[in-house]
Amino acid sequence: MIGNLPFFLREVYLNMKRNILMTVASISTVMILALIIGFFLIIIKNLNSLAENTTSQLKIQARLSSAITRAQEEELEKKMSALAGVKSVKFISKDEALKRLQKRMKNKISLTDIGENPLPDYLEIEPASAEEISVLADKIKHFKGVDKVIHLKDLAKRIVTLNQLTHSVGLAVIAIVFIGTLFIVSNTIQLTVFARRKEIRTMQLVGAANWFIRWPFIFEGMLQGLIGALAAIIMLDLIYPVMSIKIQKSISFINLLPSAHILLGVNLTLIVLGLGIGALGSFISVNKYLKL
Amino acid sequence: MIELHGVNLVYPNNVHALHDIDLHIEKGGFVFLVGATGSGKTSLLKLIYREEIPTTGEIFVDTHDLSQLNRSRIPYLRRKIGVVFQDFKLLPYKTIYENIAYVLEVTGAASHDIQKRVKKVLEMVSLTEKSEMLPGELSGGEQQRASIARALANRPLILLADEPTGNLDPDTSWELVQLLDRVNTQGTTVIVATHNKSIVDAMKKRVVVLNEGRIAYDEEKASYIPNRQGAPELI
Ligand SMILES: Nc1ncnc2c1ncn2[C@@H]1O[C@H](COP(=O)(O)OP(=O)(O)O)[C@@H](O)[C@H]1O
Ligand SMILES: [Mg+2]
Repeated sequence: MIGNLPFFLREVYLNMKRNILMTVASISTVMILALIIGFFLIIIKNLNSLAENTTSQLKIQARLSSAITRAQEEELEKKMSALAGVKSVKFISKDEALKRLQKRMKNKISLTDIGENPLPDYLEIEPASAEEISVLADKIKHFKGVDKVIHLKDLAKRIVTLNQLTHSVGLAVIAIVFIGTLFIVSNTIQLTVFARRKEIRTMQLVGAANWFIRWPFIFEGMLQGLIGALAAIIMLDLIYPVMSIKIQKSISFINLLPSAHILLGVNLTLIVLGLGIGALGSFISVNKYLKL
Repeated sequence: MIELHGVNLVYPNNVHALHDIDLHIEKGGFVFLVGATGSGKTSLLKLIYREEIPTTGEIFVDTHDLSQLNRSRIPYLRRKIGVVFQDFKLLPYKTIYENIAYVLEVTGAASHDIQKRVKKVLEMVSLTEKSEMLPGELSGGEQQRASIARALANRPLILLADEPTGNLDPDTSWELVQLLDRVNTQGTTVIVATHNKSIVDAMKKRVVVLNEGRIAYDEEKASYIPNRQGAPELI
């Protein structure tokens, strides 16, 4: 097999040259597939990071009773940190809570207006994931010294659903596009294989084993898949940085992932997909004629 | 080397191409297979290199029992058999050189051995000058010689030639038959399906006559006499 490689590669070169039109057709099909899949990958990755970012802003507030001592508070903080699903626990004094409030209200209220600070001390608990938040809040409610627990139940739920939805919808779309393109690519390749069915028959009759006939076709498919994927990668890599800046400008509250962060993974995925679809497409179509 | 017992071949369209064929050919034998068009010569050859499978009966070729032959072993059987196809079956997008080299490539031969061997068989059929041409650029006779060179490339145990002189002028035909005879003296078992009466008569080899799918004659050193009883008139 390794010894046959130079022969196979020459076969690939000659066959592609012989059939320029079909070669271009296969490459374009893979390229379009790679563009669509790449596009969805980029959307999914961005939605995922968006969901993650929002999750990190989801925190549980455990308001402490005013009777609690400093030592009891520290004990409570330790116990909460030890809970499963807790990422961090932070003590927020009533003074700091007021400062935060003022900041949020854009300094429209001043300390002197209020007189005595009405806010309680509280512990701010960051959950490891949005899914855990309700369960955690329930547990924390029963700790001694905790007056009241506040968390954004509905927002958490929505983020969890969104996360699951983008995952399953994204994967479904990618699977459908993959199967659809595999079908189109193997049909395109099948046209070239069909044109060569007599040659395939002759090769068998003069003693070629099926694998010997099959490999050049598979290499040809892989090469075409690779070229198609690379073409799509070049386009995506040129378009994404420009588009993401434009989108960011018009919708300022969304933070799109920077190109360097997202494109490498997308590129590698597309290369693997291109190679895979080319190899599989060739394999399927050439096998049809090898069995005759 | 080649044995057929009670072989019948019925094609899917119900043409009964061969009837109750019993044939035994020794290692190193030389047989002319003669008969009118449609008498089943090509079908008989196809059974031997397993392009067709008999409807009933048994076939043995060298060490292989073809009814027991695993699909994956078929290429090995075929590498022992050089076939000159009636329609040449040259690969149209490969040069003559590449066509011949192909049957050596499939065996995994080393490239310098392939080169040497292809040169040698091209010389044997006087096609050295045309080795870089495509089959479509050659005359029918030249393509036939290329197909013969390919059949010889693997030094086959068995050489099957299906009307190999069909496109050759008398002189070239004669040279070709001399070549086949030489290959035969070197130990290759040769079967030639032919219409060519003068060659059959001159060669004094074993003659097997097919008539409508049955063996009508099977004689050592026979001449082919067109009007002999039972034998078909040939073109
Ligand atoms: N692939 C095939 N399918 C159906 N019938 C066939 C096929 N090949 C040959 N035949 C029929 O079988 C008979 C013998 O054909 P063939 O072996 O080619 O004879 P020959 O080579 O002596 O001219 C003919 O009647 C022919 O029409
Ligand atoms: Mg014939």
